[in-house]
Amino acid sequence: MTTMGSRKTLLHVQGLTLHYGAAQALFGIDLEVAEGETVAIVGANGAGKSSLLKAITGIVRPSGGRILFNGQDVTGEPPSRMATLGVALSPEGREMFGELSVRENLALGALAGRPGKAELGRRMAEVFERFPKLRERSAQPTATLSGGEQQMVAIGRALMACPRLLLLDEPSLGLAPLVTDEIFDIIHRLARAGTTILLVEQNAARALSASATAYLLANGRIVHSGKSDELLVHPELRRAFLGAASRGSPAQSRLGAAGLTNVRLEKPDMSRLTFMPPFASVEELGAHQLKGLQWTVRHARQGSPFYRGRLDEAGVGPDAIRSLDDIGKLPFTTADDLRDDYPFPLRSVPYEQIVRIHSSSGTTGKRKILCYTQKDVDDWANFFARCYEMAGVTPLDRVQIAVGYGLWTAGVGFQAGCERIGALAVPTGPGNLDLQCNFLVDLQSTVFCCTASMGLLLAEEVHKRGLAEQINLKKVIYGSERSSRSMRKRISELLGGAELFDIPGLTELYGPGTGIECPHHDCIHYWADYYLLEILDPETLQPLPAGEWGEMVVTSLAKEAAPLIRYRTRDITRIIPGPCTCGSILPRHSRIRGRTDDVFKFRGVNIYPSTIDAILSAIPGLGSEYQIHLTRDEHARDRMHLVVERGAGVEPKRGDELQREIAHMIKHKVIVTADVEVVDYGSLPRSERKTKRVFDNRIQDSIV
Amino acid sequence: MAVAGSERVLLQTSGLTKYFGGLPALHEVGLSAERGQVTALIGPNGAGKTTFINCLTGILQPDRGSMTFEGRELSGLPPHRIARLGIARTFQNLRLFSGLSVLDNVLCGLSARAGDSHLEAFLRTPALRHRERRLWLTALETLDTFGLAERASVPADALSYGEKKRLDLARAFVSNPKLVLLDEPVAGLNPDETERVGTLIRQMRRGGASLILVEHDMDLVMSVSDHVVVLDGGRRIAEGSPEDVQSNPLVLEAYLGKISATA
Amino acid sequence: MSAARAAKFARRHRMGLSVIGLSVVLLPVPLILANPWQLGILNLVAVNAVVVLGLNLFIGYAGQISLGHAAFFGLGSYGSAILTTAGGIPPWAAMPITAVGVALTALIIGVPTLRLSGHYLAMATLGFNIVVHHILVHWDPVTGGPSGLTGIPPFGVWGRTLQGEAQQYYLLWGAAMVALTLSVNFVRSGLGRGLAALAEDEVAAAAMGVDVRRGKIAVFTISAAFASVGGSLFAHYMGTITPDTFGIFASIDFVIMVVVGGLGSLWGSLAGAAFVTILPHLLGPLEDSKDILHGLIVVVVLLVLPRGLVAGLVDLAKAQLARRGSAVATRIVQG
Repeated sequence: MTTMGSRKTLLHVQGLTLHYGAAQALFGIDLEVAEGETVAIVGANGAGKSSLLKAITGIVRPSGGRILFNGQDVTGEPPSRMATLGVALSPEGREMFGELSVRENLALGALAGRPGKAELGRRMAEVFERFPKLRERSAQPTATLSGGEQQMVAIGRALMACPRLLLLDEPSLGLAPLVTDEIFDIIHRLARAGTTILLVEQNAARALSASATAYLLANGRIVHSGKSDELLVHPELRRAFLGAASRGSPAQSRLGAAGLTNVRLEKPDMSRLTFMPPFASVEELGAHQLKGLQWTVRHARQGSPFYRGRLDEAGVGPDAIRSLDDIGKLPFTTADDLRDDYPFPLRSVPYEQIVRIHSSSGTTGKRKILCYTQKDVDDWANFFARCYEMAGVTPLDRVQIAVGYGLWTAGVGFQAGCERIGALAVPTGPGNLDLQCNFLVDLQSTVFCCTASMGLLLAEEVHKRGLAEQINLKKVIYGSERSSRSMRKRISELLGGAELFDIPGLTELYGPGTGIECPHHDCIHYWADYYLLEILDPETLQPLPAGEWGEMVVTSLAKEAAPLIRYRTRDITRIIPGPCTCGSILPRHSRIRGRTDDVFKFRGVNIYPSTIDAILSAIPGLGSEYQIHLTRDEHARDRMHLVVERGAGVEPKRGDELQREIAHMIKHKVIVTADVEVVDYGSLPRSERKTKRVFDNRIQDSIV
Repeated sequence: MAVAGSERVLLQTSGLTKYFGGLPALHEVGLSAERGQVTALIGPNGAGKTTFINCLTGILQPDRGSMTFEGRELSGLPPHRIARLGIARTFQNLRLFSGLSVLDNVLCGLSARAGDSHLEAFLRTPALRHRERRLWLTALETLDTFGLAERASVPADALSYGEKKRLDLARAFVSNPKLVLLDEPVAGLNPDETERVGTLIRQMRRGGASLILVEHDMDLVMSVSDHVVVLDGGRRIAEGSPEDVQSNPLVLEAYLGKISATA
Repeated sequence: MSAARAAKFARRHRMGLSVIGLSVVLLPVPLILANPWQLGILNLVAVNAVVVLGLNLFIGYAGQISLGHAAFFGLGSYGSAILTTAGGIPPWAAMPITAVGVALTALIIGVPTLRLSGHYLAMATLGFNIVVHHILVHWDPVTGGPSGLTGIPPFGVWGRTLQGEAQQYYLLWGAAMVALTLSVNFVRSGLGRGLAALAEDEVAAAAMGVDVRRGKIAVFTISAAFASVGGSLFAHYMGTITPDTFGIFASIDFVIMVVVGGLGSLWGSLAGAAFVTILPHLLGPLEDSKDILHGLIVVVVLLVLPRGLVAGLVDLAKAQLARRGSAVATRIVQG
């Protein structure tokens, strides 16, 4: 028998193993408790702490090894015998006999020793001495006591047996900080009085502060042991076992738990500057809009021969606009008009007033060039700042702008707005994931601006590098691409729960920033003081009732260099009528569902990719990326092959059920039978700009 | 996601009172929880927090006062009706279905959505099979989110305590409820597991869930809540933003007693 | 079909395939086992299985207790018997009509009784059984009194009535397989899960949206219907029924079959019905002490395999394998 210093070993566990049926819980535990010592066993949930105590008290029979108590082999002895030998347990969760009173619970603690009435009374008086609170409540049923009081009863009950070894199983479980203090106070006093205590705890800080020796338990094995005060300062162990509390001194974790050691940054006195329009009511806004419309018609007619011609054709004189409904009289303009009048289409001011041009990446034919006066540039920066304001961006934020600079409106637009709101702009531009990640970590950027596809690419990269905990990203503002619900969810999750804001924008109408997703995330507010939005049927060009999907037709109200009159954008959305829960009176539209030319025909049915998006988003376990391949088979019939990625971390064996579900839902909602293939997460390509999803291979070249 | 045009206040109680024997466990408690926000309910042991949750979920009937959810009066409704209105909860003492597998536990959380008729169940109609498949996929996705997918077929009582706590959470969130009541979700968890649960709670909130959180762990409460209500002895003694409540002397006294010396 | 696809198919449909597999195994038995007395015992097993499956849904899945199911069994037998003899209704119609009537009876007594639980519920169901038994014994004009009813016509298929044990075997085991399929389907549905949940923890189940009260009443009614069908099959098989068969000891026998097979295990229900019905006959001279034997069986099974035959044996196998494995590993490590 080894002795620790001059003390005798009271409990000696050798090579203990324990099985629950087929599962092994303990793998050869060795530990010693000397008489009068307090020993702590620390470990996470599932480490085996309770199993160990159950083996020692005899509740569960070990499958191997030995337990020696006071020199005797007690392995496998039943709990009643262990109690007689002087082992008492305060169990995890306290285990009160709820209907019995405090006094009765305590009396039961002494049952094994069968003391006489006088002795029982004496012991009980001692317990009440130690726990004065219990004396007040001695007749109360224990189920009505608070957690802390119940813990006292549990310890008192164990003490009633005058044990040689006191086992405490998680005494701080579920107790408030103040109460835990009281309990540990009692434990300290018991230790000072010479009671041998084996303390099992998850709260490592407490346990190590209360004991002389400690054993660290993980996965059923002892991974470390030694003197408690040494373990308390061992850096690796602190990190592993004290976790968050290791940031400061462990003793402070109690105050930390009460939130009293947080260093609070006083919010700097931010100016009450707001970029929101001053209109208090919808009527005021309407009056402003009418003035703007009248001005635009007059200005366009005066400054642009193109517009003069069109307006005359339509029979619209300079004063023809009396009310907002008169907008129906105005002629339409389209993207073709912009191309025809290259390189300065719709120009309505002298060249010397133009200070900038921007261009969109035209995919067919010539690029679209739009020009800006200084006022246009300022207006744009102002209402872009509004976007940031609505998204809750403040001068304390750091905005990483990962969209295209140069000719594209995006980069310059985001930056100007950012500087206007006073935040810190980090103009990284698109691509270069390495740089993006480095800056996210080093500069702790809080806002990220990108296209949806770039957002996904970055989010996956962040996840791959395990950076989610190291970055400080709170918001993602993205635009210029349709995005599905599952794509948004994925981006948000991978970035550690960032908030997403969809920002609409059209190169023709200044650029991005003409509205932004509401902070309640159910709509997009647009800046109706700068443009009028009509939703029209793309075929008949008639106005649709509020709430129906149709083509966005925009008319600018203050744009000087290249005003827009009923410009057909070919984007599909709908107005959302009614006031918004966020409190803004600015009108709202839905997120862009797609373009009128996005739709493809399949066996005579018009199908929008956004419909497929919505169907796939609703199926749990799928990723956000997919491809639609359209082909024609040898019988000249259309075939659709849908390739969908599984969600990240979803097991391959779920693929069959997913495939069945997708095929069923597509059949159900779009009345189309598609070949569905479910592939691994990450196997479909991602792009930095816009992702192409529909591959129509049916068009065959008839040219030999 | 928040429903367009909906009311800000999701749940409101006023004058809620409950007696046990002669003692008031709750006395004239008024609280409102807003949509999309985390409202924390804190207070020392025995302050009445669990009694409050039990009244809200129909396990106890209040003696006085009203509780409205989306305008509907809750008092008098049995627990399963309240659950079907879209209110889910976790339990302080877990109350898992220990004999059932992890996956089955989560599937039970979807019970309100299953909506089978007896005939469909016996005959196993294609409609039922499709619904079952959808429920299965949904449950598995929730298990993914809560990090329990690998343990799907394990009986619930074989899980570690931390895993059980997460299972309780998964079971509550799987049905995408409008309001979730969390009763001490991190009690008994070590700092790392607490952190993990905190992240999950924040994630659920980002997804638009509205939460009422009962907890003792102040770090968690402060980092996750939008609004805090403090109970002591069955009465509401303070409420406000986390920062306000943190420095409110009444709250400090109730919770920490008179601080004589710092550690 | 490739091997992989076949395996996938088998996994997806493993329940259905298992039932079909069992049916296939059962098919040739009358051809092998020519002895009509032995076939007769197997036929009784089938009848009992139908009742036990229903009872297992109530006791095993929903976690309730009934010590009076023989009453429903008896009402099913007598109902069907009376309708066919006095009412002239063919057995195929009498059986469902009786089942509906018994189900309604169960619904009526279930509504107040199922508010109780544990011991109180057990006593109430026991009381119900005693009342029914009493009626069967004393209501001579209708039930034939203590000597019961005779001349109950057997089932007929396509005009020809079933003759002999072999033909009855196919009918009775066919019914048992149908009962098994229905039970298996039920258990795998949302409703079935709701029952399992309320058996574990009623409060938590209610918090998930399970209507506990309704669920209990529904499964009670369903189990009564199963028992009634079993009773009708029994009446038309035996041709003669007496009230003694439907007393409280019969109820306890059914419960024993459920427990021995394993609470909540449907395959176990079949095993339990078989084990408890057949074993006494195998022990020759002890046949008469059927009740003592049943009691002993329960005690032994619960001591050795508390989760019932099927589940218990599986667990035992797993545990032994695990221990062997770790012992071997330890020896290897220690060199």
